[in-house]
Amino acid sequence: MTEAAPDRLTRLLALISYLEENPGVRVATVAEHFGVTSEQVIDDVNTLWVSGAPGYLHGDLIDFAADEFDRGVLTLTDSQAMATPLRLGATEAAALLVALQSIAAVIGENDLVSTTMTKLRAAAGDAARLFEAVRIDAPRPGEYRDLLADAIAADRRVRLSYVSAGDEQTERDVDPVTLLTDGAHWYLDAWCHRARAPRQFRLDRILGAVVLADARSAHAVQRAPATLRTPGADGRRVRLHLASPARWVAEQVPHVGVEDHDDGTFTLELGVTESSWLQRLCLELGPLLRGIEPPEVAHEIAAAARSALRAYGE
Amino acid sequence: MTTPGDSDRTPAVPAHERLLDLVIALTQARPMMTKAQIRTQVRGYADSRPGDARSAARVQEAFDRKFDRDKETLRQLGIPLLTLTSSVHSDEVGYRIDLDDYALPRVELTAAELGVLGLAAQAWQDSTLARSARRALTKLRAITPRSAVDDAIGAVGLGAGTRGLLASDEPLGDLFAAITDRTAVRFTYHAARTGTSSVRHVEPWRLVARERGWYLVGWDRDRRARRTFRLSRIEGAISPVDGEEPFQLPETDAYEGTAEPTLLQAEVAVRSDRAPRLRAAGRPKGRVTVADGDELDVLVIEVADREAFASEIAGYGEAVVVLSPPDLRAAVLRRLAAVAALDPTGSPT
Repeated sequence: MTEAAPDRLTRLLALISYLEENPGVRVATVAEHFGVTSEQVIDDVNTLWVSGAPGYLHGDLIDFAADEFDRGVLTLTDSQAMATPLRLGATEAAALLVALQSIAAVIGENDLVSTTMTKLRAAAGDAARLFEAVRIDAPRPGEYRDLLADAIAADRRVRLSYVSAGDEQTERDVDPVTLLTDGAHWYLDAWCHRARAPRQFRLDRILGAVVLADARSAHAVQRAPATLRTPGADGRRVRLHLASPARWVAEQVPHVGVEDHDDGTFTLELGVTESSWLQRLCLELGPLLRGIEPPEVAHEIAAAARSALRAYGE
Repeated sequence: MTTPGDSDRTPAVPAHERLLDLVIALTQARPMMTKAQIRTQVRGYADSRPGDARSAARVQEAFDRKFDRDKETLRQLGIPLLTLTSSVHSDEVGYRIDLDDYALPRVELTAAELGVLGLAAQAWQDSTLARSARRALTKLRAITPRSAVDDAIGAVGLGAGTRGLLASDEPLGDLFAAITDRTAVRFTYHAARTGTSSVRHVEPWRLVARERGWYLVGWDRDRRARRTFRLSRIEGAISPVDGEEPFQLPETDAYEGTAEPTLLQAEVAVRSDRAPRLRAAGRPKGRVTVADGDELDVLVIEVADREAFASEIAGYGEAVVVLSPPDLRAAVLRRLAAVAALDPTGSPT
């Protein structure tokens, strides 16, 4: 995909400021610093080289030391008075401020993050007002986050006591890979020796964890960086007819589709892989649930509600 | 090399090159450049030259559109663009970039601090704000000699896990601006409680991110009350209410949810080997025989929110039975009875 012009312009201007301060820097170093390829840096330099003030003759253009450029080294010889580093736009500052706040919310007290925060505030100017106006409620990591982080750092296997979404408790040895959060829950990405497969465990469902003496297996160490699993399209199709206050379900549960009705109710189509999970969701919703399709699923879930009522003598 | 004279034969100048030449030209302009000068002298505009009279009007229109878009782009990037009037011809408008306001404040970031910002910039999933954050990062890289992302990951203890933390396809950018400028906003809101949509006028105070969603807290002018809006329930665009003085923030306004949670003590009965998480949260208190004849384990549990807890307990189905208090028991029964009634073919209880 081609880079959007405002993003490219921002880097072109940033390169002028950076190269003015850092003469004789290698193309590869610049590329790494700005998170782009060396080809991109050369392309940028070639663009800068033909840019300048109206007239566009030799003395009007941004210029580099050509002999050094041929050796892969960049030295700016004429910045056309554009070397002043450009301030942050309001939305740019806000986007980075809030992103940094989200990191702070997730990891808690941290010296490096708080000094970075102070300096970013100073750089942001007026946009730093958002610091007071934005709050990020990170999910609580629970009591085993530190233990798991230590196990990852020490390259150790962990024995977990874990409760599945279907409310079943199991003991399993896992090789922890990384901790992740999607803003609602914390997860441990790990190689599970019980399942002999990679698995993600929700930290709030871990009832116990012990670090073992064994080192992690190659499975764990060689895995690619994890991303959060997003369930959804596979599984049995079930349609829930819901009252408007149950809107949070559509906002939080991965689903196949949602259809709004004129009376304010809506129908949510789910791909269900675990029937115990669906049963739990339906019973939690209670009167907000207006209907379930197909009928055999409705029958199954209503039966579960009736057997619960019997325990109350109802 | 491209010169204006070649423009009939050379392909169009790419947008980023045109914008860069515009920035350089307006920075060096003394005292200013008029629109006509920009059009004829700045590379990238000069290629739209008039032919016959009718196409001249079209070309002029195309230039105006392009230039308006470019001005807006520069403003979004934080480039201070001044609009000036000629001292000689007062009807002549010109432009200049003000270098006094242009500069980034001098902050000295260490390599590790820049690394932290690099991690932070990955937190946005939404592409517009992700791009904004990356541009801010690029600008800070310009004034920092080196970055050390590995040091940052080491110190922060988060790597790939930060990705996509701020999941959002919601109009946050508009609200960032409105909150910073204290501008009231107008939008159509779908209220989940009533299931109806209506136009709201709101003074935006704060944003709260919670459970994968963003909430706006502010003063609802139509309801004359403080209200919380879930951003995903806003329909269509958020527009600023123009032509007003910045609104006043309330002197004190506690964050939503800072009130002490109301604690109640519940007694529940749990079937053997069921509901392990609930067991972990509660304190055992003997056994009891429930209506269906089974003997269950009794737990005492501290509860912060009765309705939320009633939903949780209902979700366990027959595995958990509420013994007390009565209003919690009634709240669970309401949920179970409603779901039991969804199956007209089922046998009566």
